Amino acid sequence: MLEVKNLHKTFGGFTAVQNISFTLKPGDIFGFIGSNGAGKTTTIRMISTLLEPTSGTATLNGVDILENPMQIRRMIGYMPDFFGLYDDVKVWEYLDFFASIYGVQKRDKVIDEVLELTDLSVKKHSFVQSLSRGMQQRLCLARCLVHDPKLLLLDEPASGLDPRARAELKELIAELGRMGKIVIVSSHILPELSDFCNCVGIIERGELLAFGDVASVVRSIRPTKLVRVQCISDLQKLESMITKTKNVQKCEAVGTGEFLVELTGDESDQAQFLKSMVDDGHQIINFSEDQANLEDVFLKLTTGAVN
Amino acid sequence: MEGNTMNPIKSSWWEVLITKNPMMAEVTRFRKRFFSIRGSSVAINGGIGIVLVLYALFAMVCVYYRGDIDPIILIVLFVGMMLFVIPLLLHASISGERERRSWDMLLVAPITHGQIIAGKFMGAFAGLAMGLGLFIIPVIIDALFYPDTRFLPMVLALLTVLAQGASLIAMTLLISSRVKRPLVALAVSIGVVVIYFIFVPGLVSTVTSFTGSFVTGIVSPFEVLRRLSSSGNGMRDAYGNQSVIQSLDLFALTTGHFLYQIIITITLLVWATKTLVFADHEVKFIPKKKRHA
Repeated sequence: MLEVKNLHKTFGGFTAVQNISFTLKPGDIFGFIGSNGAGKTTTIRMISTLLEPTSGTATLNGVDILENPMQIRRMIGYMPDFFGLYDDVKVWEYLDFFASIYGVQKRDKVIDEVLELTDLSVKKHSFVQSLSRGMQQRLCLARCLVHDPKLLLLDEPASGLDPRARAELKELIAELGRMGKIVIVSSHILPELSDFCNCVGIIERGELLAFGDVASVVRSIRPTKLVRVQCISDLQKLESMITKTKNVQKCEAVGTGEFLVELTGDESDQAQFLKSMVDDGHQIINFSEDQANLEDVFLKLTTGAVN
Repeated sequence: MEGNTMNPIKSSWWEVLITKNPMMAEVTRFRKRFFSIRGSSVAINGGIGIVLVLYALFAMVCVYYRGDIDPIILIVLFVGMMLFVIPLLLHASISGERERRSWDMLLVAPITHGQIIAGKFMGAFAGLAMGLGLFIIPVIIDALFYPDTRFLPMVLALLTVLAQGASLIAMTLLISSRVKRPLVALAVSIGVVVIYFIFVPGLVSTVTSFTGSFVTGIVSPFEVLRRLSSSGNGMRDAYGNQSVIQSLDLFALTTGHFLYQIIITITLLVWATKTLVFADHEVKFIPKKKRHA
């Protein structure tokens, strides 16, 4: 369990992070969203013990980052946004070096396992320098995993990767979540985050503006449902019927034979609305909820301002 | 956020920094990097190739002229090379990690800054010892045939070299930990070497006229080696000068230099460790005046 409590960081007169608090449980994959300079990296660096918070703290499985940073370091795997690898060594030597630093027993076996997990087994004896960017990213992730951490802090792990490498990385992160690790991923690629994160946090100017599971965060900016209705029968009659329906807040024609309807209520009200249109004799060819996504949430909550 | 107080089991400083220091993996890394031709780095492989050719030439000269050259003068040759080779190999050991952005990965590992510096130092020192071990083979062949070989001064000369090498490694590590760019680290290290081994001895010679040769003997490895080479019954030292030293306490001579170098080494290593803390807390993108507002 990771508990972040009022984490605050100032550099002189500059406030980078303002009293951030959240809790994550094993298996959670947390998407940390924010513009450049919003405070994501500072927060991640504080949790990883690389930066000392001005106030506040965080605990991982009850261990405090301020009181026992060495024990915390044994429980976390940190992948920085920009990283370099030792290019004069082979893949297994690189992992062996870090495994020995972490005091890992049976290093050969562990290295084989993390290479298999990150799909780099065939590159075990290659020089790090010869790996593609995507493979280097995976190798860095493998390095984070050699000591079997409880918490993974991945700062912009998908930046600079091609679509295939991104998809592979996404699958790998999802797998790590299934293994029971807490994963914190900061990223700008919002649609991808919503694919594999079960909770998100939006940060701007060091302040956590929203936190929770993806659905609840999305719902928080749009309490009503937006339903797209397409019909091939009498449109005027349909519009009149829709506007008279009890749960409808607003109805707007958006295209040929298409309406965007703002609807209150739950799923059963939504089903009832569809039934009433069909019962009224309208030929409905499309009825779908226009769901808000993380990008909508992000754009609505943030102003793009930085400190 | 240095966490060296967090070990639940009390360990001695020797265990923490040396015997149980996970960063001793640097010894293997250093050996693989600079003592094997296998990597993809053309510069390193080329460098190793040139060194091997020079070593072969040196060995041939030593064997061919066996018994003609004072072995200690050959050791002086090693010191001369060491002054420039150590900065060349080590200038990027920390600044390079920073530039390459691999530094954070070390800092987030469960090791202290002291362990990082100790690991880097021991890796380089083991390399130096290995280099000296290879170098000394042809020197021993020469010494076996040299008519005036005295092995005690030779052993003391080797200790002098190791002590001087240790302080040079510590100095290069300190400079590497205080600058951002490896090339700057190299330039500063070479600059310090030139000042320390050319200008300072000149200055010290002036002081010597007041203090006697005591200060020179402590500061300069070349002076110590010169005196070691002239400590026997020969009237000329390793540089061909008429020896003024008829009887000498060899241990006193080398102990002074040895202790001086050890103190310098420890001071520089501690300074380097503190520098790492300073560098971590430094925030580059905030103007200095605002940083402490």
